[in-house]
Amino acid sequence: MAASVTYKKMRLLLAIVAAVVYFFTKQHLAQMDDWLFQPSWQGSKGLALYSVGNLNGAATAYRAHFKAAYDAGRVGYDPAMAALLAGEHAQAKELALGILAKEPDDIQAELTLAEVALAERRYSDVLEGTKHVLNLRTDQADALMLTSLAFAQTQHVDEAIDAMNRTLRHGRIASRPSIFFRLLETTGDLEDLPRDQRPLALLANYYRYLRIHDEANGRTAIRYAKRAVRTGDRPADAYLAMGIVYEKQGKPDQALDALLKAIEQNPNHAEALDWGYRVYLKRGDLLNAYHMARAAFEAAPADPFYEQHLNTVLVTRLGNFREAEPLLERAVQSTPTSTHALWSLGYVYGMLGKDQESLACFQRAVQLDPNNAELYEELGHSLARLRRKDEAVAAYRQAISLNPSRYQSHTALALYYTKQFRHREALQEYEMAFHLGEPKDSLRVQMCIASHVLGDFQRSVECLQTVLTRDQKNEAARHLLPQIRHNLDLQRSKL
Amino acid sequence: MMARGLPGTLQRVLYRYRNPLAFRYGALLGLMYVGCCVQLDYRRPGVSTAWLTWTGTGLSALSFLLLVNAFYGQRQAGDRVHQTFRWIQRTATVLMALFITYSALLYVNGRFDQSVPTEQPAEILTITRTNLPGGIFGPVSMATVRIAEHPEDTHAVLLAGTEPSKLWPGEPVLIHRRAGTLGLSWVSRIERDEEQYWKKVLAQMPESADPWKRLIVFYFQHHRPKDAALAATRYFEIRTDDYEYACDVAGTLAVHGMTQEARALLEPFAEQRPDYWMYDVLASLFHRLGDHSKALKLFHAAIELDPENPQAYFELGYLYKDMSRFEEAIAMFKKVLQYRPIFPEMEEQIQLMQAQVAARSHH
Repeated sequence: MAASVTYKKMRLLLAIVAAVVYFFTKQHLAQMDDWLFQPSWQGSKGLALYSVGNLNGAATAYRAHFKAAYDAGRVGYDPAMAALLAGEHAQAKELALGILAKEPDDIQAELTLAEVALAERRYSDVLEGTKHVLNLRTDQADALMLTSLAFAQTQHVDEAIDAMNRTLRHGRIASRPSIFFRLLETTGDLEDLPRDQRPLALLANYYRYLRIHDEANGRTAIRYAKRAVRTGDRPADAYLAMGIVYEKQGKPDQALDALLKAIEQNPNHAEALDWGYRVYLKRGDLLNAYHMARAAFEAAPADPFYEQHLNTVLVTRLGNFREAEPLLERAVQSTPTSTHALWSLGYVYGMLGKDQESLACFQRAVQLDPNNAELYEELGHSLARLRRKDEAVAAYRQAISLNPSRYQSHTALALYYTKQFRHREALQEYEMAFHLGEPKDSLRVQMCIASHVLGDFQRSVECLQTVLTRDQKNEAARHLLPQIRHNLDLQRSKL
Repeated sequence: MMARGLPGTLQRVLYRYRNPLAFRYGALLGLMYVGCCVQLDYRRPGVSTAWLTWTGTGLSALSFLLLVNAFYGQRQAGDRVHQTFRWIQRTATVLMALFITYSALLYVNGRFDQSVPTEQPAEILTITRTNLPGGIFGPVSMATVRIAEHPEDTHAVLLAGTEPSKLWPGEPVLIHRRAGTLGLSWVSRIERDEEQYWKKVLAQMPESADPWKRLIVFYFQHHRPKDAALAATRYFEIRTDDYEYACDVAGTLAVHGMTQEARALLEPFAEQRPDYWMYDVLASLFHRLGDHSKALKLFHAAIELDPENPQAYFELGYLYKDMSRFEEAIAMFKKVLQYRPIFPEMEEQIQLMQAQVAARSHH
C-alpha cells in the first residue's frame, strides 16, 4: 500500500518535471525563426542537428528537405529561389539569366547568380555580382551577407566581418532564406576547422547574426567572442559582437563595458563607436553619445551612415546648430534627394535665423515626398517665420489632411492661430490635438485662454481648474484664473 | 464537502492530493509575493534593500523544501527527516510572518503618506542588475548611491519601474524621499539630476541650445525663476536670434514676478526684430516697471504692426487708466470690444472710466 502511494507520488513528480521541461522547450522554440521549422522528416532532422550545434549537418538536412519538395513540385518560393534552395544551381542560373535579359538591373536575379557563384566557389564572381547590386542599392542586406560569406570562404576575415557589420547596422537582415542556410553551412565549416585555425571573432559575429533567428545563439556568440579576446583574434571585433549581443539581451551596462573595450582596442573602430553612441543615446547620456558619434564620424568621414547619427545628436538632441550646419550642407550636396537631410538642414537654417534658406529646403523636401505630414508642418513653420500667413495655414492644413490623426499638426496650427488672434479656430485645433493625445499640459493653458477670449468664461474657468488639478503650481493658470473668474461673475450678475 | 459538485476524476485528484500544509505555504508564498511588490513600491534605502533580495532568495529555497515536505509530510513522527522538516517549517513560518508584517508596515507607511517629497542630490556609484529568484519579479536592479550631503557614506537602494534603464553609474541623481506615515522614510522616485547633468553638458558644449532650454525648463518647474533668468541670460548671449523663445521665457518670467529680468532679456530682441508679440510683451513689462512712456511707444508700435489684434488695445487701455488718461482708456477698451464683443471686464472698465471722466468734469 505504502509502495503504491510512493509510486503515485513519484508519477506526479515526474509529471511536474515533464511539464517544466515542456514549458522551457516551448519557450525556447517560440523565439526561433520559422525558417528552422520545415515540415518533413529531413526538416525535423535539420532542426535536431541545429539544436545540438551541428550546423553543417543541419544545412545539409534542410537542403535535402528543399530538394525533396522541389522534386515533388512543392516549391513554396519563386522558381529561382526554390531551385537555389534545392541545390539545382544550373536551373537557378538559367532562370536568373532569363530575368536579367529582360530586366538588366533586377536585384533578385543578380543575387541568385551571386549565390550560384558562391555555391560553385567562384568567389570573385560573387563579389562582382554583389558589387553591382550594392551600386544599385547601398547596403543591400542580401548582397552584403553574400559578400561576407565569400570573404569568409576565402579567409578574408576582416572584410567578412566588415560586410556583416554593414548588413546589420541598419537593423536589417538578409531576406533570402537561401542565404540563411548558406550562413549555417559556412558557420559550420568554420567551426569544423582545427581549433587553432578557427576565426573566433568572425564566428562570434556570425553567431551574433544567427541570434536574430534564434536568441539562444547569443550565448554562443559571447562564448566565441570571449575566446577570441583571450587568443587575441581581432579583439575589437570580438568585443563589438559581445557588446551588441549584451545590448540585445537587455544588459546595457555589460554592453557598454564591452563596447568601450572594443574602442580601447581600436580607437578608430567606427562601428564600435557607433554602437557606443546608440547605447549612450538610449540611456539619455547625450554628452557621451555625442562624443561617440563624433568619433565614429571622424573614423569614417566618407560614410554617410555615421554622419547621419552625428547630425541626429547635434540637431534633434543637443540643438548645436552651428556645428551641424556645414555637415548637413555637405550631406544635402552628396545626397540631394534625401528628404531627411533636407529636413535637418531646413530645421537648422530656421534655428539659425536663415528663414529663406530654410523655406527653400522644405519646399524641395515636400516636392520629393509630397505625402509627408511632418515636412508640411516644418514648411508651415518656415512660412510663419517669414510672415506668409495664408501659405503657412495652408501648409499646416495640408499636413492635417495627409495625416488627420497626427496631433502635432493640430497643435502647430492651433499655436499659429493663437498668434494670429484666431481663437475660434485655435480652440478647435487644441481640442482635436488633445483628443488625439497631445501630452503637453502647458498647451492646455493656451486652450483655456482661447475659451476666455471667445467669451466662454465658464469653460475657461473649468479648463484652468483642470490644469491646476494636474499641476497645482502652474503659475500661468494661477495668474489667469482670478481674472477670468471676475469676468464670469460679471457676466452672471448681468444675467 | 466543497468538491461535491465536481466531476469524479477531479474529486479524486483533490482528495488524493489535498494537503493543508501545501495550501498554507501556498497562501504564505502568495503573501510573500505581495510583500516583495510592496517593498519595491515603498522601498526603504539601506539595510532593507539587501534584506529584500537575500530574503527573497532564502525564502524561495525554503519554500521548495517546504513543498517537498508537504508531499512527504506523512512520514512517521520521530523520523529524523521529519523532525528536520518540522524545524525548517517553524523557522520559515516565523521568517515569512516577519517579512509579511514588515511589508504591511511599509504599505501603511507609504500608501497613506501625505508628506511632500524632498529632493536629495546624490551620485550613483554602481548598479547591480540581478534576478530575484524564480524570475517571479523579473530583473531587479540595486544601486549604490553617495548622498551629496554626506559624501563619506554610501547607501544601497532598489531601482524600480523604468529607473534601471534610465540611470547609470556616475550619474548625478535626485532621490525623492518622503517622511512616511509611520516615520519610516522611504524613496518614491529616483531621477536624473537634470540641473547637474545639463550643466555638465553645457560646460563642454556651451553653444548647444537644447541643454540650455532643458535647464531653463527645469528651473521653472522647480520654481526657481531667478536661476531660470540667469540661465536664460547666458543662453541668449549665445543665441541672439532665438526671438520666439525669448518671448516665451520673458512671458514666463513676468508671470513669476521677475519683470526686470524679463525686460532685460527681451529688449535687445525688440531692436533687432520688430514683432507684434515682442512689442506687446515688452510694453507690458515697461508698464509694470512704471516706465509709461516706453510702454506707450511700444504698444503703439505693436498696433501699427497688427491693428486688428485686440491684445495691445487691452493692455494700452490699462496703461492709460494708470496714467489717468481716462478718455483714451475708454477708447482703447471700446476698441477691444470691437474685436472681443463678449468681455464684461471691458464694459465694467468703461463704466468706471466714464465715472472718472464725469467726476473730473464735475470738479
